[in-house]
Amino acid sequence: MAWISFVIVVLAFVLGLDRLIPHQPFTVTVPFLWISINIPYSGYFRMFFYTLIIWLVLWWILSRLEERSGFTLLWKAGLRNGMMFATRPRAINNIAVVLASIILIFTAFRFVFDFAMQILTGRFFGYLIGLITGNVRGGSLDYVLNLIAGDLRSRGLEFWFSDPNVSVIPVLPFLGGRIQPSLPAPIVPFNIIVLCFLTLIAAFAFRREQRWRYENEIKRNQIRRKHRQDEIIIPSSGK
Amino acid sequence: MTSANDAMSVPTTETNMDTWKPGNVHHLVPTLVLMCGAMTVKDAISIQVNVQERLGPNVPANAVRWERIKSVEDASEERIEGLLAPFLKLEYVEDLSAGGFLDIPSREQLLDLQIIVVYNLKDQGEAVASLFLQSLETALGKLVSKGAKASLTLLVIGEGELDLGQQTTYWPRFRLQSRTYSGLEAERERILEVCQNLIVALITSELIRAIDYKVEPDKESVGWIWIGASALVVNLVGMREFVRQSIFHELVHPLIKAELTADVCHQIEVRMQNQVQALQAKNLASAMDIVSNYGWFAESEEGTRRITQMDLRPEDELTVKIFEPESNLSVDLSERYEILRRSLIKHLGERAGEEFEKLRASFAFRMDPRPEDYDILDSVRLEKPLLPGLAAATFAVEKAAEYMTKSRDINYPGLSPHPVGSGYYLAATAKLDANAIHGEYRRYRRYERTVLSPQGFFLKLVPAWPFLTAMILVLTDWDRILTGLLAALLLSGLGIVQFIGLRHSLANLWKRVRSDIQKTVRLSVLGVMANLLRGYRILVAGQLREMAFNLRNLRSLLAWEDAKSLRRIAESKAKSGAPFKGQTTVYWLADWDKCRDYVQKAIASAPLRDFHSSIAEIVAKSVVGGDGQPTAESGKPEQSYQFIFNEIERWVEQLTQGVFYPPELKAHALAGKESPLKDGRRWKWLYEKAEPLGGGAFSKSFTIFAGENPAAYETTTAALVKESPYWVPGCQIAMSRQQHEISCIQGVIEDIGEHHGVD
Repeated sequence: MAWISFVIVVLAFVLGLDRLIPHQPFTVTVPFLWISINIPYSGYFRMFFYTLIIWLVLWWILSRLEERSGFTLLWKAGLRNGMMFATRPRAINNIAVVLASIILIFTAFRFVFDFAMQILTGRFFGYLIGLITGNVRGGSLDYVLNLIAGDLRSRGLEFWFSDPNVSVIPVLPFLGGRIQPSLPAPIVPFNIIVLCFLTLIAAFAFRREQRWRYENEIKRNQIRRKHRQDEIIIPSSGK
Repeated sequence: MTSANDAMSVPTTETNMDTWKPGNVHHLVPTLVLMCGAMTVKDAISIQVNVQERLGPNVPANAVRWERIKSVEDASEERIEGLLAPFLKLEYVEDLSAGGFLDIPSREQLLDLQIIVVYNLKDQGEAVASLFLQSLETALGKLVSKGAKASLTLLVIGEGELDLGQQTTYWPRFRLQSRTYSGLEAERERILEVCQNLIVALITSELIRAIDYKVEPDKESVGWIWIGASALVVNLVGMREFVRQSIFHELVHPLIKAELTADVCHQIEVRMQNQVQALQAKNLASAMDIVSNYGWFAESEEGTRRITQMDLRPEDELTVKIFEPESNLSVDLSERYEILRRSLIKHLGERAGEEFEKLRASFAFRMDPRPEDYDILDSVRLEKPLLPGLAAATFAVEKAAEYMTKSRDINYPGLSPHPVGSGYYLAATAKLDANAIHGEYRRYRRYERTVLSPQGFFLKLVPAWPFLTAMILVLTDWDRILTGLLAALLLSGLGIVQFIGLRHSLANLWKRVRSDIQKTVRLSVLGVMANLLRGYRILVAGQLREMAFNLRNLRSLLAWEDAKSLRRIAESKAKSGAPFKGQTTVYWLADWDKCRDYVQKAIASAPLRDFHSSIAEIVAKSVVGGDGQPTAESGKPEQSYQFIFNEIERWVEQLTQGVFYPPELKAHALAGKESPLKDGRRWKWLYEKAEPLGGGAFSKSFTIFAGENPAAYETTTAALVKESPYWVPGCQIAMSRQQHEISCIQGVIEDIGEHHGVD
């Protein structure tokens, strides 16, 4: 049922229902300084959290339904073996997990790579300085930074900076909007990232559920056989 | 009864005392010989046996009766009447008539009887002897009036005074004692021989009438006649035995000879190997036929006995049960195995029995030179027969047993015959098989449930679709919708390929599982078959070993009998010849060349193939086991050996009877070939050897030669008799029935009242 719940969640995402899930980043406002800061990546976590809740709820509901029907739903749907024993074909069985893993690994790799690139290009420092100095008069530093990193922006790196979850820093007014210091953004859409994480969790839960089902069925069989056995009464020797 | 017929062909003449003269025909007179007095059993038997042997074919066995009377009490009238009773019955006459004797007693006149009383005087007092002989005379005399007229001849052996008086009816009254007329001491054997010679002459010749003729007209005054007798006797018994044993040897030797050469051994080995293989192939084919009737496709290669196909028919009920096994599968399997086993036992036993019969017949064929009459294996029938000997048959049987023991019944990898064939074992086997089948089925089911169902495919592929789409979009700048479709297509294609591949591997697995299940059941069925075939094979091998043992025994017995026959031949020959050593009074004549001719004639005329076939048939039926079933009870060698010997004896007797012709073996003819008896010397020899035992210087004596029919004698030897310098002048010839015997009886007559016996 863990996987079925997950599939339902995926289908919901595919149908675009993910937009209904809150996914804006949390903003922290500093009192007395009139400064509000968006917590980086917090939108991801927020969306993931709600998705996880939805999945768990779905799982719980389906499990209860299954419990009440006594496996008949799965059997009637022809899913009993698949949900308990099916390991073949391995490519199909694990393809979602593999793809999710690939995406996550690749995204992480790119994230680290971009982060390193930003450090190398000084953007991160600019961002850091801007963050620290707040309103730096004169704009000389920003001018320098823009000179260094402007060419990079023209090379198609806008995508990395366009993510609203990443644009946690308000546009610096004294730079006229020409430069928008930001953290690196993931390579794939954030909802996919959420699904990837959910895939790994669902796969883990699915395996645990498989084991549970297997052990549970063995226990049931044992109990059933025990009930079927005739009670053997050994008469006393009469001594 | 050729000899009897020959005797019958002699013209008869009237033979009363008034008209009798030398040369008349002798009529057979039923004779009772009474051994009395101190006659020992050994001597009595010796006399009886030797006389009977010499009587030959012209005197039927039931025309002479023998009895031993020791004392006066034994010589009662009732007993004597009882002894003579068989002669007075109609059955006796009819027996003679049935035996081909035409000179039988006439029913219109009183029966002639001859009673010869042989009395041994040794240690008997005169009074006892006189009383005994008078009592016997009285008892016998009373019988004369009861429908028979009897002549009463007395022969007293031994020294001592004995006076029977003038009124005695004993005639003639012979005496023998242990000293010859010339005073020589006579040995016991000589006395017995003289006694035998005299009794033979009394039974078979006109001796009494010749004596009457010689002593007339002073017969009334004749007291004791001290007698001596000699004889030239054709050793008919010995010659017949020679012929008989020689024929036996000629018949039996081919069976037991034949030391097999390496080439013959090789031929037999090859044939037996082929035959055993053919037998096993036929048995296996029969078993396969039977199995085919019980829901199997079953085929095998004839030569290699390799199982080429052995599968349950798809439409068979068991096929469904083993491929969809249920908990009671072991019961179904057990029932099926048991049914199959019983059917195999029933039908295989019949067919295997037929095959064994052919094998057995082929062993008979090994000994039988007449293969065209045997409806046995074609391959065997077309072969040239081997040596018709027991050695070849034994070797063939031994080789067959060896090949039977070594060979395999069924050639199938991994097959081991069931060690036992009981119902319990089959039930246990069925349980094992059911477990194995359940295991195989479970193996498939386990694999099957690890394969995703189509729904499972959908569930697994759906989450991958957005990921694949996203990945493609990262790498390309294609349209999102098209990319989504492409990803869906890729995933569907991958799913379909995987689905087809898995279904294919599942189908292969099911095929293997079915094959393994079939193999499990097949091995059990083959195990049942192999168990029965092996049991049958071992049984046959055991039977063959027993056969070989019996055949070896038979060969040894026949070899022993053959050696015995050769020894008997030598013994027969040893009995004949010139008896110049000792005091023997009998010259045994024999013509061994004639005997060999007889043997050759017998063997030439004998259908030896029929003989060997007959023996082979008995060997096949009894020693080899002819009931068609190789059971432990078949073959009773002791009886079989007896059957075989009886059959051989029957053949030998038949052949001997066919060739051995006593009328050709006349004493005169054979005596002419013996140098001591040539040219009339026989008369001198006979005369000298017939010197009376006892007597004295009496005035009267006689010499009588008892020989064959005077009519024939005149034509063949008249010139010899008359012109021979060895002829005894004044001698008398008494016609005898014995063509194979010439006797000489010399008597010295003692008048009544005088006694000159040697004390």
